[in-house]
Amino acid sequence: MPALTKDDIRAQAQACGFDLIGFASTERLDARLPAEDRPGTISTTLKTLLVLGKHIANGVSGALDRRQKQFACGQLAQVMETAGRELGYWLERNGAMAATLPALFVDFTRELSAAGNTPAGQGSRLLRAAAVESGLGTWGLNNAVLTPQYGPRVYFGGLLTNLALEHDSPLAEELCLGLEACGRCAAICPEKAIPLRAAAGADLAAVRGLDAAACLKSAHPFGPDAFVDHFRATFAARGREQQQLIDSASTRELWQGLAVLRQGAFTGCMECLQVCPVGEDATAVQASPHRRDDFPTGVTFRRAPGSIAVEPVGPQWRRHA
Amino acid sequence: MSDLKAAQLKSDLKAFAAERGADGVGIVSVAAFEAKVPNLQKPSSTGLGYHSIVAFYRHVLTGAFVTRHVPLQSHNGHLTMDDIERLQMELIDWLERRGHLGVAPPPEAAFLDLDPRKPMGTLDLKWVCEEAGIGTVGLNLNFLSPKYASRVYIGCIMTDAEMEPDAPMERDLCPGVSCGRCGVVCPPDAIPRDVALGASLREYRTLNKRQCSLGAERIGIRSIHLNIESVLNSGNPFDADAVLESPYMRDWWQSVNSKVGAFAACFECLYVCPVGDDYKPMYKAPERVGDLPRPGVKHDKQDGRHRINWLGPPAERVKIFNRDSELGKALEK
Repeated sequence: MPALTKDDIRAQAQACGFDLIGFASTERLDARLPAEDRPGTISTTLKTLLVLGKHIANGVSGALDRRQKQFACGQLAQVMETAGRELGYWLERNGAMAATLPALFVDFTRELSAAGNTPAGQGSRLLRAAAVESGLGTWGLNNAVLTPQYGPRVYFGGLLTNLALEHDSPLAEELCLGLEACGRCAAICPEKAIPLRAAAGADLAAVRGLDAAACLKSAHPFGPDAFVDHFRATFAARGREQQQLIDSASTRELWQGLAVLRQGAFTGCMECLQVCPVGEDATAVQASPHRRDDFPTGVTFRRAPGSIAVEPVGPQWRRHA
Repeated sequence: MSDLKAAQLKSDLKAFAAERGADGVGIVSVAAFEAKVPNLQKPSSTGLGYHSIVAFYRHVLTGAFVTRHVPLQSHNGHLTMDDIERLQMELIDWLERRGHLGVAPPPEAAFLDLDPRKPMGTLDLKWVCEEAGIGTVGLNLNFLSPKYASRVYIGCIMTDAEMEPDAPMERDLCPGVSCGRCGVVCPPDAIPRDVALGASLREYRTLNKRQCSLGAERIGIRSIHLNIESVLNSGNPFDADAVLESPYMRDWWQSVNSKVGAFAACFECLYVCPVGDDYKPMYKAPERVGDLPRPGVKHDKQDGRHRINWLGPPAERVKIFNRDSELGKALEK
């Protein structure tokens, strides 16, 4: 059986519906990542990680309702799992070994919350790091991965394989404009989870970050952590307040996220993704009428000697609520 | 339908199933199978008007078994199960386009009233697949296929199309207790380890399903019952915060959301099964070293019995099985 080439695999990945594919070395990732995210803890036989990206449909930017967005992005995550499986079977028919890497799974025996799956369901920390390592994109201010084609409006899946393939190289230039030159994601974040202040002239690498616990509140509004918090509050309440919590919209939304939206439970807020000006799709995404209201007068900066801060405005739906 | 047309239909159907991903496909006669089923999970308690059952399997991606990550293996298993359901629907659609009826018995859903006077589910797929000649049922009641042993998931559809049934395999693929590896490592000790000396596999193959569920469905329905009981029976005062902050609660949420942990959550007997073309590359992988802890299988043949030892899984994996009282234990802290 002739050995598969990277071009063969790229072509098949595209046939399976993926927009982006990168080739990452698990050994190189092991050298760069904290112990809990190292692919070498999963397998040393499977030495190549295929990073598979698929973009969020541009039309999602026009959706107003959070559940509509969650449904669309949950569907995307599900389609990617299926497509990854098909690519895996194709690799195995061609003599390789392959295993799909869960993008949204959280190992709660090792992690206390699902905060690692932020921002916005883009994929696990490992997959995002592998996307950067394989040159599909670069880290943004908010720890999302920005790609030249779709900005951060892309989800990542992965396939581990035993094929020895040359790894791709990271991009040479940052795509994110940073807080000082852009700051849109920080300004719009409903949880103020993205850095709002930086030293003047600081490098992006020194500024970027995410308060994952804060992001989680909007990114997984009815996810596993919200489930625990809601029932903890319910048990702590007494009398009428307890009854109201039991018979609340939150109880019903928790059920819906769990059983109906499924993967969509991890794809709640996507404000920072939608305002990002990076990506060939950015113009189309920003064309939606309500997206034009995101920053009618632009981002407001407050400058002080040696520092710069972004004025948080929150998403327009919250401003108008 | 003439014999010639029926033969062509069967040949075309098998070719279609293989093209769409089935690794093995076989045909069962409803009438013949009905007569063999010893319990209530018969074709006639599943549906009427069907003449044939099309049984098939697809392997879990082999790469999943050269990892150390049990949730990843479970995730891959569920993706394969989803694929089995896709294949069911495609086969039914294929048959309907040719003027036949088809229905898909659910591969995973059971009848949860657990009333022994009633069927426990629709068809018991492992027996259907054995009857279809695409593999045989092993010591632990897992279906074994020639290429991938039990590292597969199985499905079937019932149809009114009459097709020549395939013959069951003449020899069992599973060596039984003379191998015994699955019994030795099974975390909840659910697989036979003490059988009549000289008995055939078909006389003693079985599984303590309740025990098995503690590993294979360790965040599934029985585990939930047992965890609630562990809270109710705890001598400690109820502390909602302690219970809700147990990792079990978030894992429970995730198991309902993704099925990871609810089904297909223990693979110890699959790792060590030496049957299948995939075993050789798999067992050589460093990830599979030590699956059968030392001293390995010990046979004790005396007093008319053939006994094998129990070791359980490797020490580093012991802690991930049997989560039946985590919530009760949370109250002890």
